[in-house]
Amino acid sequence: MRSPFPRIAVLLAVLAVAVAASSGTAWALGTPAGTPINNQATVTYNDPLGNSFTALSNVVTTLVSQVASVDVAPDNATTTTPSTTVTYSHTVANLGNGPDTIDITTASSQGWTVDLYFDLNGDGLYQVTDPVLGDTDGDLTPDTGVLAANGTYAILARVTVPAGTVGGTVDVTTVTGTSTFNVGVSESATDTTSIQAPNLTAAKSVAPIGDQPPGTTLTYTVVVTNTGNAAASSVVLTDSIPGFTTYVAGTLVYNGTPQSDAADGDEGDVNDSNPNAVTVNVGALAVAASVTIEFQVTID
Amino acid sequence: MSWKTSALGLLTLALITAGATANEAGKLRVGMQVEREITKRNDAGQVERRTEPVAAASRGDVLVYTLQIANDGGDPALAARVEDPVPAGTVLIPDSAGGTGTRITYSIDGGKTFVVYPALRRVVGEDGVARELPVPAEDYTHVRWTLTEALDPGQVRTAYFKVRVE
Repeated sequence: MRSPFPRIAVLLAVLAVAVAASSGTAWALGTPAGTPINNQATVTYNDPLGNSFTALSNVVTTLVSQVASVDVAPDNATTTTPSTTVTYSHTVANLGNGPDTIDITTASSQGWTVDLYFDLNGDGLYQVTDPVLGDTDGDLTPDTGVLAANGTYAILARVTVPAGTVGGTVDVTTVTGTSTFNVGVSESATDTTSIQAPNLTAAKSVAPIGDQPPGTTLTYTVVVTNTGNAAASSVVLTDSIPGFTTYVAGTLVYNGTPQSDAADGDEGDVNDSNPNAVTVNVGALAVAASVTIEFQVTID
Repeated sequence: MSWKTSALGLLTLALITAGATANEAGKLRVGMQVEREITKRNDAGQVERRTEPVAAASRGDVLVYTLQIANDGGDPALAARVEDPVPAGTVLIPDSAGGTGTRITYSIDGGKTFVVYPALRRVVGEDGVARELPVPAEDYTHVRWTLTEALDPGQVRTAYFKVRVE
């Protein structure tokens, strides 16, 4: 301690290295959990005779606590048709400063089935070799397994669109990652699935309305409309001749055009393509388009 | 500072004193303690600060390092100065150092040179003009307290500074 300067020089050199390390590293996640934060002060002074002295303080140590932080990204959106399965790719990241196992849960706004997979080769696509996301910590929720600080994990959320889903239906499936180190920390991404499908409605009316005596001629009008958000193709309308009535020959009209009763060159026929029924080959029906079919029967 | 932490601080000082007896020449003792600063806004909208003991801290926590410089010798200590590095894993809260009877300066070069806050650095802007701009908080590496007067035997000075855990 009589010649303190070499020691100070060494101390400062060590400090310089430490400082360089701390400022050179991007602590995007914060200092790693468990890292000691050490501090020690140095005092230099002279006595009245001009002798120089140096003394060190005690070392104060504070440990860095673990803090959880989770990210799930990105948000996805796609348009598809009923009876399909859509695969959405997400990256789950542990942005905390210590190891964490991140539980993954999903919720479909339409109540559709959502299956989670580990994206084995990380290509964002589903292959049969991609395993179902497992529950590594036995808490009955699938998870990423232990991720180191800054670790990421590629997952796939597969949303199954049921058959018969109406065009225009929108499902928002939320994929949530929750820290198991601190269950109060979670982050979500959304997968929005919009359904494109035709939706055909048939409105049938009769004239005259009300109770009618036998021998009355009834005119049925059927309007078929595509209320969906995609064109329909190969549309065929079949309408049975009601019981206790008899079709009036030659009364079938399709979009204002009289049709022959036989299955021939025009679109409509009666009792030919289908027994005891009116059949009209509408073909393609664009979005919001409608067709009108009329025919008459007499009450037996 | 709560009563409990004061007691801890005294205990620390006592230990330092005991541990430093082998140092025959040195009569100045520096005892250090750390606490966490808790800031909250009270019902009147004012910011209230208090400190609490801390063993483990999280990112964003504010740590207050308090140093007590005591002259245990029989002679006055002249030209005394205390230097403390900003600990690795923390960033200095700018201009946060204090201490009665001390002149406070900061280093941004690992303790080679010290300047009064704020430290400036020459930066050439996109327009090609060089300007002296204040450095960001993370550039500060050391704090220095230079005692403005001799510290007589039995006297104590207190100094402090604050950092934020990264």
